[in-house]
Amino acid sequence: MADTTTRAKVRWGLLDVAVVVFALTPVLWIMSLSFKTPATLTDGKFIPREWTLENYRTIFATDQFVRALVNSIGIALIATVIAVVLGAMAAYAISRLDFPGKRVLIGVSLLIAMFPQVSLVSPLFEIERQLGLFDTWPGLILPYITFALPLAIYTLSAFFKQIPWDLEKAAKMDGATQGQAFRRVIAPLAAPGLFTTAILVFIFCWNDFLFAISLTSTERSRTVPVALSFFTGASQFEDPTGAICAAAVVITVPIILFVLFFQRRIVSGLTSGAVKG
Amino acid sequence: MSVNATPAGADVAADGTETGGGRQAAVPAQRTRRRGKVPLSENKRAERKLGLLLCAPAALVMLAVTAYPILYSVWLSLQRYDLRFPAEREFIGLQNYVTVLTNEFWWTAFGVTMLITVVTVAVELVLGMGLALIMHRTLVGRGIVRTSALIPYGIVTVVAAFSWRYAWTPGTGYLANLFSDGAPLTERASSLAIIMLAEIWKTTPFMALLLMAGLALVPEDLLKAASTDGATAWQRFTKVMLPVMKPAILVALLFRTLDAFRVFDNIYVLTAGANETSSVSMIAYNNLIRGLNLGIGSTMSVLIFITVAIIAFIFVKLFGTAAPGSDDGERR
Amino acid sequence: MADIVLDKVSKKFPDGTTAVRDVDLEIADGEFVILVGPSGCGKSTTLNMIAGLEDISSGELRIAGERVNDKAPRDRDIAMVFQSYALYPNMTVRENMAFPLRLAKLDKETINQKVDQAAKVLELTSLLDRKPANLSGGQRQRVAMGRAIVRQPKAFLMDEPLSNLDAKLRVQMRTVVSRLQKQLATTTVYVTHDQTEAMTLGDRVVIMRGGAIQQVGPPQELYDHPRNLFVAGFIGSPSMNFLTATVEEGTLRTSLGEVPIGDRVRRELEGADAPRELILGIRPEHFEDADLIDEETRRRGMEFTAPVDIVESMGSDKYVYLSVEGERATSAELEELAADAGAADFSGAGSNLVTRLSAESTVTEGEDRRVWFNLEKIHLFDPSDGRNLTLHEGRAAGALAD
Repeated sequence: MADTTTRAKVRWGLLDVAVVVFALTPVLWIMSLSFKTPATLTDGKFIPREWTLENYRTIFATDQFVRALVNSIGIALIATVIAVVLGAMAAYAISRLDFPGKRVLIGVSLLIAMFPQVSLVSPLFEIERQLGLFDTWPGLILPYITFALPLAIYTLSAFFKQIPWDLEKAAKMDGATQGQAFRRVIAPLAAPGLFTTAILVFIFCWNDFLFAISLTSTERSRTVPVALSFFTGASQFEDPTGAICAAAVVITVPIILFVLFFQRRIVSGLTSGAVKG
Repeated sequence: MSVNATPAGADVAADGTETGGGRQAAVPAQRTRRRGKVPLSENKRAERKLGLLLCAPAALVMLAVTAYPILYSVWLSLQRYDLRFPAEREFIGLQNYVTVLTNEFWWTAFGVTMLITVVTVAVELVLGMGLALIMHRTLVGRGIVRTSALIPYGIVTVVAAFSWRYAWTPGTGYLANLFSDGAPLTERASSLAIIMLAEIWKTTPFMALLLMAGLALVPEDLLKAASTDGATAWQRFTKVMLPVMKPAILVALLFRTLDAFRVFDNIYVLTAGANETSSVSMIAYNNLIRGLNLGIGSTMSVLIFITVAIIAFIFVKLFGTAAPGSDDGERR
Repeated sequence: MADIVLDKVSKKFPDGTTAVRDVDLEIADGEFVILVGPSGCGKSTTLNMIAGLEDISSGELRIAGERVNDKAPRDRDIAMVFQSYALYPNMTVRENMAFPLRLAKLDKETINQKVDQAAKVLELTSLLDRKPANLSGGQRQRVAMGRAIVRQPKAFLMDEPLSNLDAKLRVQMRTVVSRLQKQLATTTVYVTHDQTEAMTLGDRVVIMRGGAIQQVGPPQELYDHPRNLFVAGFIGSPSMNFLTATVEEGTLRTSLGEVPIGDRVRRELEGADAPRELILGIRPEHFEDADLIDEETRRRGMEFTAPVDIVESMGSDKYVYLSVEGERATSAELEELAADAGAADFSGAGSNLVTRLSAESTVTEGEDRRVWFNLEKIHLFDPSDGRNLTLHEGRAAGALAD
């Protein structure tokens, strides 16, 4: 018995290693590039021979990147907060109340989750130009909220369904008002779900490229993924590779931190929200 | 006949956790649901009003940003409308559709998109299933595996695309000299292969997570029962796990197919559509932002929308994919 | 401390179903009353209406003489123990128990003192700093009780508080609940699904079915004098055996032989619309091995012979299942009881008679055995409405009474 379990463990261990290598190689590679000096950049080695922080100094010294970083953070945070608040309201209604149009709402959000975003690019481009939203923060925040809402609604209603609502009754029996029952009992229980949803929505907004490149035209509202792609042609860098990689690493760090600290929550959020039934 | 033999709520808290739903064991099923949701307010109208009120903001935003623009885009697609020549704007009926549908670039892009969709989704299904099994059943390092699998999912697509691009760039990359001494990103076949590789790397974890949720639905006892009935590991997988997981697999396929059809970021960074590697999203973007041709761009938007709708329809009708959430309120 | 009065209390849901119909019930100060019945009988709805968690559609609810129909739960000063315990997972045991006191804005010292006192009574002192997730089922149950007693409310409401515990612990906790209630002498309404709990715990038991009260009384009375088929079948374990009986010229023809009937029952059956088909009810414990009884006892009953199907030795006595020919008695009440036991579509083979014989009996499986049963303890029911025909002024006296 002991023998077979050891063998099984080794086998699983090898598979684990394969997965880890597969998942991490591209990330490590771009990190490695970001630490290379211009001289060694094109040596094709996976591990830098000379380490430097020069690339990071360069990007943080330019407005182009810093401005984009501010845009990215600001836009993603605002969109996340709004999407989670609106999503929480809708998810509460879906998981706890009975009302006409509930299934329509579920259906609509499902449709939007599958909607080809590029189909919106042309009309939104034109509409936002007319409304003066083109190349502004709200011009990106609005479509982000829209496409984050289905995700938020699914994830949150899955979480809300797991909350033991008996506790609300118990709190009332213990002498709480409706408000106290919500604040002191339900809200602390709902917080992890809200937090997980916020992470997922933030990742979604943070990652977007199509809207960001179509609906912006200047540094005023360009986000980092877009700014990255413009580094390529920009003349102020002789060879943009090192700068692109450094910038790429900077916007990857928060994602890696989220994943490291909240792996369990993200997995449960994604799986419960995405597949119900 | 022993009347008292059924422990009430035996299904509740069997795992020792607080579940809370079991109290209603003593109430008929059809009433339980309603009451479970609204313990105090029996006023149906107030409940409806509150429900609609809570959903209204989300619904309005979603409709305002999708339904109205898509209709607007249908309207735009019926016009000659090029921002470089705004004076020539006029209603031309379906002529834009004729232009696009007789254009070989469109069909090439369409073919590329379909190819990428079919190949990546197929590969992802196999790899994703493997990864799901590893994440679900591994004996060692489950946390590490799950954490590292999440990184491709979370990482910005453009960042990953740059990583792949530099990996295959001659001189810079560690992979560039792997196959031939040429530059892989300057040839069509190898470019497409790299685009697909990047797509697969990025989205297999998502597929795996969806499938893992399906795996979790397979009761452990069912697998044990199959073992004692003499099923081999492969038979357990195909005869027990796959049938139970079928709904989850179909949902994962639907989501991933439609997602793959939207492929844009990777192509933009890796080849920018050179050597006939444009996808439909790429070509629509180029017509709109680079070409500033709103009429043609909108026509492509509408065509893409229709294609996606057809794919979704096929999934739902032919395979009976139960849309997630569509059964809300029926079960549980 | 208070009495609770339900005056024609009804509950209608918006979809038109009536969960509780005209319930009249007076619960005295300090009394321990059990609401029992199968799933869907309205017992939990009744409890929730007393708690204020459900609105009352019509009728009046008075606690300590005061009408409380429109009062919020928090203004009724009653505590409730839930089946799921409903402990706040984000609070420690101490915080859970202190929660109602903190909402009542008591000062810290008083709160601590009261929590410590309640914890001592329920032997929770060593667990006060733990979170509910780190407690066993029995411990959680005690915390839920602690949270209820700590504020010394006018009344306790308990909604199947023991049903999530395993069998052994349930028996143990039953005595804890019983002792606690006597000690505190607080009016208690206790809902359960389990007739053993109902029999052992309550001063009085209320049996409900389909939203209406079937019978109210002390446990022994319900056992001895069930007013109808439903009560007879619900109380007692194993449950009463029901056989079809045909009235023929002053006797009852049954699959156990001809059962004589006394004058009183005969008068009942003489009416023009009196039923010809009856249901005969005999409790398992009113059978005995015919070899083991003296002549005096033998005269009070009758004997029959039947093949022995299965013998279950319980140590103190033997459950003997006999195969008896003839049709199984049917009625709406019996079907509901069977459905509640989860056996609606599973009758086993043949019509089995459950008997509870002395441990000394030498009965073996497969043989034909002579068995005696007590005619003074049998009941006759009208299958159309379930009424107990042997009941006279609320007392049952068997079929032979004059």
